[in-house]
Amino acid sequence: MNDSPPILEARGLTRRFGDLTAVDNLSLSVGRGEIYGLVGPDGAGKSTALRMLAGILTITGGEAQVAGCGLPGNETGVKNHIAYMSQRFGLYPDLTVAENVDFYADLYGAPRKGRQERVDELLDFSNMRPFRKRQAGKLSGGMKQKLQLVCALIHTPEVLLLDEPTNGVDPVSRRDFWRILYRLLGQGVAILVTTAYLDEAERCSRVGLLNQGRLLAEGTPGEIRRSMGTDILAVRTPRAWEASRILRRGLAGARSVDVFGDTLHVVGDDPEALGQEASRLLADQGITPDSLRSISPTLEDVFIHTLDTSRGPGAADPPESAGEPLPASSETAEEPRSASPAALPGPWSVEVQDLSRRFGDFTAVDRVSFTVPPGEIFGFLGPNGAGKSTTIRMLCGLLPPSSGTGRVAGFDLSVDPEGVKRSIGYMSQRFSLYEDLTVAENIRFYGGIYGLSGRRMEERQAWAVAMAGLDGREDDLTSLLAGGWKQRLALACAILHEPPIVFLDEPTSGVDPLSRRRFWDIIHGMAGAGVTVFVTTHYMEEAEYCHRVALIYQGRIIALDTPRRLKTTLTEETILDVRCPRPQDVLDQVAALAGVSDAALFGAGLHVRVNDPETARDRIRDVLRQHGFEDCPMQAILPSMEDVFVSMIESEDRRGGLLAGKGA
Amino acid sequence: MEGFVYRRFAAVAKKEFLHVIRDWRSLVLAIAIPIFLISLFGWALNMDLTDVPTAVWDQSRTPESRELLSLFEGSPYFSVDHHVDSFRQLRSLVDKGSAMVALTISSDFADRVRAGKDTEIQAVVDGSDANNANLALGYVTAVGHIYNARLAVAATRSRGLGDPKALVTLEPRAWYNPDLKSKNVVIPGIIALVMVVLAAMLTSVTVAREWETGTMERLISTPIRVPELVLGKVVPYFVVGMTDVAISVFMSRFIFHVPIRGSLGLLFAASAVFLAGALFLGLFLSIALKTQVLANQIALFSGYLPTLFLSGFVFGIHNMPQAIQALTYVVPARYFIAMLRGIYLKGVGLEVLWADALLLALYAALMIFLAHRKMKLMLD
Amino acid sequence: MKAALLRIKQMLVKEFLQMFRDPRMRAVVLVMPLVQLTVMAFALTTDVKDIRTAVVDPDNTPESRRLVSEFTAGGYFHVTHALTSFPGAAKLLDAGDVLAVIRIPRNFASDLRAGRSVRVQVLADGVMANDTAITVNYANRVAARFNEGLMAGRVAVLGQVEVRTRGWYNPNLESKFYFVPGLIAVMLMLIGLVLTSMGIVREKEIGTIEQVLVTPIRRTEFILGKTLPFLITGYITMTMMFVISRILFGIVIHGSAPLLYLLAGVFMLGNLGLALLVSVTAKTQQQALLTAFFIMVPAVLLSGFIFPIHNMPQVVQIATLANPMRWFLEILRGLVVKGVGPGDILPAMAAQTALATGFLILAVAKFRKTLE
Repeated sequence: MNDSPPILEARGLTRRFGDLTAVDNLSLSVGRGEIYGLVGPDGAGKSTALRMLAGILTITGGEAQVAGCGLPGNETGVKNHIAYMSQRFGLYPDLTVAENVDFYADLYGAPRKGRQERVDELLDFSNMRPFRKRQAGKLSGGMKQKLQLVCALIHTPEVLLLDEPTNGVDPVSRRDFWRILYRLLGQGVAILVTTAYLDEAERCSRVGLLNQGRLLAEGTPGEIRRSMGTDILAVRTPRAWEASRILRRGLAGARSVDVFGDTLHVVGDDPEALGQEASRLLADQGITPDSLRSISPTLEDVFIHTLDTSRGPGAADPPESAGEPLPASSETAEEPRSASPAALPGPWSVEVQDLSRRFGDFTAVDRVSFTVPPGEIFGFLGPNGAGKSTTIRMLCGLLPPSSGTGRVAGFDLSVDPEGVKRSIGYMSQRFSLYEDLTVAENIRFYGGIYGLSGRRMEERQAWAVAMAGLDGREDDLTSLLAGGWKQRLALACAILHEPPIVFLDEPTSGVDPLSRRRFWDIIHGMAGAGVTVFVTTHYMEEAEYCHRVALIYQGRIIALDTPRRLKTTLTEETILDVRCPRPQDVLDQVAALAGVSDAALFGAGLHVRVNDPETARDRIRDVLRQHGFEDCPMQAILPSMEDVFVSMIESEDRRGGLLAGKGA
Repeated sequence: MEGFVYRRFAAVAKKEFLHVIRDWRSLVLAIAIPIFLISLFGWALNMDLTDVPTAVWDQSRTPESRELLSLFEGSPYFSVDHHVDSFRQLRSLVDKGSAMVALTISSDFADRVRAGKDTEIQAVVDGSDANNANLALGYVTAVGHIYNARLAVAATRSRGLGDPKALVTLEPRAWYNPDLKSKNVVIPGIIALVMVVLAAMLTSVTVAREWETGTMERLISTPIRVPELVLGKVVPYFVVGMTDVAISVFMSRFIFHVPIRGSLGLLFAASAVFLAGALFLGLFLSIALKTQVLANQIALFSGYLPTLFLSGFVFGIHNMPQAIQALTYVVPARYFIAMLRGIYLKGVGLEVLWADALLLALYAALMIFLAHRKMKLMLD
Repeated sequence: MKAALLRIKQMLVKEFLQMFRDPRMRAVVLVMPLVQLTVMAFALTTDVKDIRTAVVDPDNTPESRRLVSEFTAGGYFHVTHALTSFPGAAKLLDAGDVLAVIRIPRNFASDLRAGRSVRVQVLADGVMANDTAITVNYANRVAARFNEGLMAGRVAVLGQVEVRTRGWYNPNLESKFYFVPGLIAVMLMLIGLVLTSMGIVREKEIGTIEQVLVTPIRRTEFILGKTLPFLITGYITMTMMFVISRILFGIVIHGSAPLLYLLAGVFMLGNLGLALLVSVTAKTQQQALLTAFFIMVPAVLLSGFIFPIHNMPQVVQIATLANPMRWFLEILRGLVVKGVGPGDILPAMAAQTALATGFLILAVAKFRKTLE
């Protein structure tokens, strides 16, 4: 892509921890103005690689050149020219935004002169300026990540190493974040980023797929997508999970069937034939797909496909591996199902009326009302700090409501929080296992607290280990597990006792796409067995897997419906899906066009929100032509959940601004 | 390559200052602990034994026995609280701890004294508190001698031998501390105790906390060098520590009137060196152990108790067994307390205290070296 | 009920695993107190003997030499320097080479023979207040004995009143009998208070507390789960400390051991209550530690461990009534050294129990509130 010599180059980089080879002979290079996305399953060695390149982890073998400094050896030199953001929040929660920025500016030796302007510019650009005096610990998740980025940029590094920077960040903030990254590319910075969001990887200049420390594939997103060799059959239907089961069971020519939001991706040698066969199978079961077409594969398809094949035969028949936990979960879920109708008086699992929670002057949750029937997967979406976690904590009996009533599993929240706790499982947003206990010890601890013992404990432990994919690692300390594995183990621990209602607060944050699928397989299995699942997520395609979705913002529910209805009724504008080679280059210009209310990067293209598609189409085409992009496909599409999310938040902001304007 | 960059050091120091200020509760405690300790020692704690609760079983009940008892009653050391009629009562008073000394005067006491025969009084002391028991017994014996002397004087007089003047009078004087006030010797020692405690509490968590919360990973990816980080982390606590020293010196001088006979400058200089050693020890533990609980516990165990007990602060080193005496040489507070007492009470300077000063400086240097050596800007 | 027991059991298993997984932590909990006990018990001695002494004897007559030999006879004074003039002696004091100086005047013998009183100066290094008092005490005894000799020479038949002293419970008045039980109490408090409060705050900091509290576990069960392990390790540590004191110092429990264990349990429970109170208010482990320490220091100093309570000002004496350490020390001395029965330590037992109950009730109430 870039003719100038790479500014970051790794040759045969290797790192071993005891007998475990975390990074195995890794070679890659990143040039100036290039963004390289490193993707891979949990524990693939992404963080280890980044740490070595940042000069903070000893290299076992191989070497690297970073910003003209050699590694191993010149770690000091490297640190002068890079910035590194680790997965954990690296700023001081008791320092204010400005103090944190100042601290890093001094550490990086940013000159005092002109520093204030640079800081202001960065804060403005990240919309953080009003929060200068706020302590970093009190910022929302999205703002924290932006602040980390600001701190990393203060000295204009030549190389930026970002380890899953957008974990747990809501879509609106994520857009902000990427906007900043693109601007940096324009300034010639080289960025190496790891991510669990494959739509982010689509926007990278180049992508490397890392597995078990080795690079399985590398290239531009286009090259990687093409490496699959075949097109993919995309079946769009609101009953995607049901349909996926039917097709997995019945579709003979399919190598794999995976769910992407409301769409099934079927991989096989002949998409045409598969399509006919699939629609027949689905029609037998009374499902009529909205659309059925052959598309070019996405990165996620390649990711899943490559990993499945690299795992070798034996272990890895995809339908089987995806369905693996199901026998156990559906079998064990028998109990809540048979128990739940008797145990739950009335038709609702969760019933909430005018629930509010105030902390001092601040209203975190403002008169929220809804009902959830048994067996429903109820999604809770909203930006960081909107009040999702507070609501869930109230529903779990952890936090007494300030006003309003709620019943969970028939127990009144204010009267009998202990009764609530007996009937639910809860997975909190923060990692909640004991790091100094082993996997098995954690499971046994939570199992014991939930009253499991004897044979049943044995069974559930075996089930939990299998579900978390930790067979053979039962005796490892939890602190040694990679992020995604910890999440899976935490989920397993939360549902060990097979509760009729489960609350999951960002269960898939930082989990790789493959594992996320397994998560959702389990969730759907549980729901099918009558378990009510309450889930929050920042992955918008996961919102599509929910039966109903509530959008919460500033403590209030601003929308509540099925994903499909949200998408069709709530936006009056049209979404144009524009596919072009380097969408980030045209983004600003397109967004500024008349008649365009918003434009955002979306996977490998742009989603442009317009009032009048016909006139907008021409204007966009003009812009693309200026950049030398001819014949770019452009079609009006049903908005994705992300489009819905962003547009609703923005319209709410506008209304809020209007009200505030009137008040003033 | 690149040496010490002042700006980065200042940035770390400033950040640590902010931590200290934001965590007002810890700051308040850090200031309150020395004030509290000094007040306690100044007002409430006293090793000088007086008013020993005493029980008497006087079987004689004669003018002679009453004269003997009046010597006890008149002494500031005894407070005769109980007169009993049986040994059982005596025993139970001591068992309960209501009396520390129990005196028994036999029924033939007066007869024997009048007849000029040797006689005994029995003094039982509660030995479960050995230290005070020892002192109390000394007092009792002294009273016995005084009574004997009176008898002798009376006898010489009655036999017309004139006034017996030719006696040796002892003129005991406590050098440096004429009134034998224990606060005069204890309060200077508190300065050492306070510093050790603060260092254990404050610096022992600073690095460990950054590892635990994950900020260290970010920090070591910046160009920061070890000396900048290590020194920057210590500076704010050094300021807090020196503030404590100033408070302690001020309180001891103006509230408790402990004299400072030596050089105030030397006092602060010695305190600074000792404080540096203590802070870097805390930091070293924090760096080496990486978890707050452990670093704290070990700092506390290795700092607080030895400073209290092995430094000569409360208990004289020369009374300890040889092996333990040898051990006290590695307790830096030993040297510091020797210096504090030299400066406070003896009014001597470096001409006498040079060896202590040198060892203290060596200790501080060693700790600084160890902390630097152990601090790695790497994850493994 | 069965479920509750099971849950508590799980909490215990977890706590023990966490406590003993890290070998360094194991050492802190189990070995450190023992090492400390041993070293401190040897170090904490107020038995003053072999006081290094300089004698300034310009007189140098049989009489003056007899006085000097009286001083050395008891084994308390050890004459290391014999001088004839005073200035040298003052230097020795300054340098700390001697702790006492006996200064005999030039005309000692002639004055005595002439029937005049003689003043002998004893200078004791006042830097160690306690030792100084004892030194002066000894010197007085020596002088009195010397005088008695003088008098006896003159008045041939005169009865002497002899004070026969006996130390009960500890005939040789060895300070270890006093300090070792005290040290045991200090160690128990140190571990119970500091480790427990930090342990809970740690769960708050990491966030695991939330996950645990959303399970059916009752708050009381959680509290029990967090505190029982320290009670159990406290017992283990205490037992090991008693074994060591028996082997090394020959200290045996004279009173009822079961009663002692029972009351030690009450003491530790009270400490755990305090620890819970600390953990409720502290946000960080550092705060917890500082607060625990702020409680620890006065508890030790105002317990009568080193400083006699009856010498404290009245107000402070009243304040010590609320100090669990004071009562436990009284119990320890009663049961271990004195070997008395429960009747004699009734007030201490009652106070101890009342305090522990109060702390626990307060702690449980406060604790419940903050977790909500």
